[in-house]
Parts: sequence; C-alpha cells; structure tokens
Amino acid sequence: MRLGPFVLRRLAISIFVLFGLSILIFLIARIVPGDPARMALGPRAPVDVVERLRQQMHLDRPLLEQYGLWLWEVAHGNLGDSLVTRRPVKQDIREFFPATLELVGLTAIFIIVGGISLGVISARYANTWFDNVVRLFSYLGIVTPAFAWAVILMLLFGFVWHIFPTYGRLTEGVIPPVTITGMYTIDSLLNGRFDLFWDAFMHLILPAIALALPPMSQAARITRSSMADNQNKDCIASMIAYGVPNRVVTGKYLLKPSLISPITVMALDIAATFGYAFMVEKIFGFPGLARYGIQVMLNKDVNAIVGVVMVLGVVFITLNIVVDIIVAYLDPRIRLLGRNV
Amino acid sequence: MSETLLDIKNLHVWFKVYGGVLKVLNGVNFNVKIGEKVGLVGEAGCGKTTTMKALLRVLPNLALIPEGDIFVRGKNILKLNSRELADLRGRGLSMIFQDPTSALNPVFTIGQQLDDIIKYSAGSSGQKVANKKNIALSALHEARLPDPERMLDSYPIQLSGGMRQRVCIAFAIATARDLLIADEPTTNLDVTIQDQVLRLIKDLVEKKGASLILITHSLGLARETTERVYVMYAGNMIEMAATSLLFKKPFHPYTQGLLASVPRLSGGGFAEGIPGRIPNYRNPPPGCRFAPRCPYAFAPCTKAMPPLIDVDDGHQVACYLYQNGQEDRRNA
Repeated sequence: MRLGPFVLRRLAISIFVLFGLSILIFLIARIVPGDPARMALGPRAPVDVVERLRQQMHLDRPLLEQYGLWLWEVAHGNLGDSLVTRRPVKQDIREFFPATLELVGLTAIFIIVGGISLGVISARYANTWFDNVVRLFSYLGIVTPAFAWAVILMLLFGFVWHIFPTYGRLTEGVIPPVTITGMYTIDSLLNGRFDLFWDAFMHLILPAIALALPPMSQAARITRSSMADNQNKDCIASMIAYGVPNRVVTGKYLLKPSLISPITVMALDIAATFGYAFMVEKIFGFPGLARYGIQVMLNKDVNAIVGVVMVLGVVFITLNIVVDIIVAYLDPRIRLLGRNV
Repeated sequence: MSETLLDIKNLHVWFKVYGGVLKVLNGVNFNVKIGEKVGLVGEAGCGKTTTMKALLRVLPNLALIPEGDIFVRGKNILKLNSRELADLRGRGLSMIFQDPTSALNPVFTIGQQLDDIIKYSAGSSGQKVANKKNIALSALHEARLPDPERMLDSYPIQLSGGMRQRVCIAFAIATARDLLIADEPTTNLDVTIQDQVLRLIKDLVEKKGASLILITHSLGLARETTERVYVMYAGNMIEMAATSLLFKKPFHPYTQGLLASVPRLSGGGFAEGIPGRIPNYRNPPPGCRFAPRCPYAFAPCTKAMPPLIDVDDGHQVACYLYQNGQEDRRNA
C-alpha cells in the first residue's frame, strides 16, 4: 500500500460521507418540533415579525429547496447566521473551535502519554502492587464521568488549594493575544508573550485532565491487556530465548504489536471528546465549540446546528484517516494485504 | 564419556490458575551431553514444551518452580539474574518453536528480528557485531531460503509455512553454539518438506558440534534423528535409553503402548492405542501418574511415584514392575 493513493482514496470517500452527513443533519435539524423563528424571537413577538424571519431564512420553502439553497451558500463559503448569537455561524465557529481544539489537544496528549505509559508499566509489572493500583484507579477512571471529575478537580485544585484557575480561557481582564490560529496558547507563543501562554495553559489543565481521565483509564486498560496477550506468545519467548534483553523485547517487540488496538480506541475517544466536552466546558466556563453546540441545539438554531455538526464530521474523518495511516504503518498485515482499508 | 551440557534435577513446575494449582512437572530429571542428540517423546500435554520453556526461563507469568535445579555447564540458571541469563541464552541456547506462525513477530521484518538476535548473541549489552548483515544473509542461505536479500525485507505473512519454519531455523543457524531445542519442528509442515527440514536441523547441529533436543510425539522421527530418548508421561520422565535399545526393548508399559500405537504401512488393521488420557493436573493420581491407564497396575502403583532405576546398561525406567531388577508381572 502506498501512502499517496491511500490518502487520496480516503479523502474522496470522505467527501461523500460529509455530503451524506450534511443531508442527515440538515433534515434532522428541521424535522425536530419547534419553530426556530419563534424560539429566536420569543413568545411575545408579533406574528408578522416571526413570519418575516421565517421567510428570510427560507423556512417556508420545501425541504429540498432549502437544502439546495443551503448548499449554494456553502459553496460560497457561507454557513448562514446563528439565531442565538446573531452572527454568521462561520464567525462563531472560527471563535469557538480553536478554543476546543487546544483543550482537546492537551487532553489528547494526556490520554496518549498517560494511557500508554500506565498500560505498559502495568503490564511490565503485572500482578504487582503497582499493577493492582493502576487497575483499581482505571476502573474508577472509567466509571466516573468527565463532568464529575471536573467538579472534583475544580473543588480540590481550584478552591481548596488555589493552584489552578477555574474559569474561562484567561484571567479576567487580561487581553487575549493577537489572533493568528485562535488558540491562545499558540498565538501567545507566536507573539512572544510567555506570560499569556502560561496563563492560557494553566486555564487548560484542569478541564483537560477531567476530559482525559475516563479515556486515559480505558486506554491504559486496553494497552495492558493487549501487552499481556502478546507477552505469552512464542515470538516473544523466542526473542527472550535468543538472549535479547528484556528492555528491548518489551520496548520493541512487545510494544509495537500491542499498540494497534489502543491507538484505534484512543483516536475515537479523542474525536468524541470534541462533542462530549460540553459539560466540562460549561463547568469551567470555557467558551468552546461543544458548549456552543449544545446551546444552539437547545435553541433550535438550525444553521448553527448544521455548522457545528459538519465541523465535528470533518474532525472525525481527519482523525480516522490519521489513525488508519498510523495503524497501517504499525501493522504490515494491513499495509501489505490491504485489509481494513 | 563426554561432558554434561545440561542437567535438570527434580524439576517441578506449577501453574497458578483460577481456583487452584496445576502441578504439571512432577520431578523431572533430564540431562544432555555436549554434542549429543536427545529425543523427548510423549503425547500432547505431557509437559515436553513446559520442560524446555522452564530451561529457557520463558515460562508464562503464572508459572512457578517450587522445586528443582537446572544446570547449564554447571551453572544453576534458576539462580542467575536477568542479565546473566540473557548472556547465557544469547551465547549458547536456541529454540525452534512448534508453530512457525506464532514464533515470528508479525509486525517486524525478518531482517529486523534477525538483526537483534545476532546483535545480542554476543552478549546482552549488544556489543558491535561486525557484518551482522552478512551473518544474516548466510544464515538464510544455509537454511535454503530462496533470495535471502529479499527475505530480509519480508514480513512473516509474506512467507509460506515451510519458509517460516526455515526462517526460524535460520535464526538458530545465526546464533546456535551449545544447544538447539527443536520443538515439534515438522508437525505443522507438509510431509514432503518435513524431511528436508529435519535434515537441515541435523546438519546444523553436527556442523556446529552443538547438542540437540528434539521434542516430538512421533517415535519414527526420534528414531531417525536421535542417539538417546527420554519418554515423558504427565510431567514425569518414565523411561530413558539409547534410541536403539528403547525401540528394541521398551520396558515401561506406557512406552510399550506408545510403540504399539504407531500405525504401520505394511500389515493390515489399525494400530492399538492406549485407552484413557492424560490425568487432570489439578488432582493428579497420588502414585504413578500412569497407573489409571496401566494394564499392569498393582497395589504399590497407587501409593507413590516409582523412582527411575537402572534396568540395563544406561537404560532407566520408572516402574514398580522392575523394582527387583527384572520384569515382575506376577501381580498383574
């Protein structure tokens, strides 16, 4: 399997997937009961004003025509206006998505580094006290949802010990860095403002840990069991029997085949975090895309709903392609036989 | 008599399992001299592979060795630390595993695996070995693999079963010096290439002056290849003799049954098997573990395991029928 054609094929398929997704979410957003115009204007708005907004948003036309009009706008780089923020959806996404992206980015680092290293150490010292502690805490990690962790962490590290800030992306009153990517940590570095970077980074830590704990525990468990499965295979015994030292066998011959399943699971968890983050974002007052997504859904803000879902779709597809490339790199059985691609 | 390379004394291996302990090896005694070719026969599940894995110290995590010693060149390997152990394995011991599909790591090329094996064959610190690639290529060539150069870049899935087994043998060729353990090396292969593979193993051992332990359930294979044979049953060595002697005059009822159950091409009818099967290791019979299946079992057999005793020159058997130095079947 060569990388270029593989990625091109996956991208081509992705376009169809996104197309299908857009039809689906476009319909669902409109079929759900409730009149978006009425909800936007409130119960006391006069009927003719509501009617004018409906016409303005083409909500009086047949669904097919609405979709056609929407596609036409999208083709011109326009996602329509949000009824909640009264701004173009594109502008909202441009503001909220980078916030979630840097939050999930840090979460992903915690999940990957924490999950794999805990799993590996746990497998290496299987059935010792360390392994037992990791296994116990990973149970706790999995069964406790991220929003509960968020509250616990906030109480402990925000209010009992004042180590981390508990609200927003920056300390109140601090002016954000000049926007380049929209991610404060990166923009502040690009501007050379290390004080701002530290401030933004500290604001990310608690929500990122809260989001990371459940998937990280899951990843640690999967890594451990995958290592344990492979540990008793003849190919590992064979390497040991040939005198290859334990550290090489564990770090190379055992780790590589054992990473395949945790990586797949971690990638899906990370992609899902973009959507699941809303509770944690809400608790920490973090103006992110997930929180925005829930807000527009509750208000039946049709254009914004479709916009947010499409962004999440792109995120999922991108991560899936990345994972397929990593897995194909790790596993020649997939690379050479073209299985599962 | 030549020097002893390997000496296993009274080896017990247990497996911790849910709700109990499997007492698999029950005091195994086993030795191999330098340059000797020894067979280890017995039916599936009798502990042949476990004995060898214990010798290489590659038993799974849940195994424990409550009793016994394993000496390699006079050093007790159960008392070595992991570094000394890696040194010993790298320098002297190699094992060809039963199933060539699982014995090769699926996500590394043959070349990558061979490279590390050769690298650490000089010692666990991984000193520089000159011409690693040349050693690898010539090993693959000696194992009669076509196009060794391309083989280095191949993954196991790109090879057939026979080729994989030859790759495993190439691993052994690249490093073997003292002892080669071949665990059912031909079981998973076509009959047509079984002979080639066996010849390859025999050549390798003879050329290097190494010792061979051939694990097999096929008596024919043991007869062709080895000089001395151990017969194993349910975690005990029950008979040991020079190969020719054993086939001429087997003493232990189990060995007799084993020989009788070999199907013959000439002569009609099915061979007779041994009724029953290997005992449960959780609650093994208190005496001789073969007693429940033995047609000659009598009172002492259910009390304690009979010790290995000499019945002939270099012929040992663990059976109460021969405790007086002669066959005694009056109670049967």
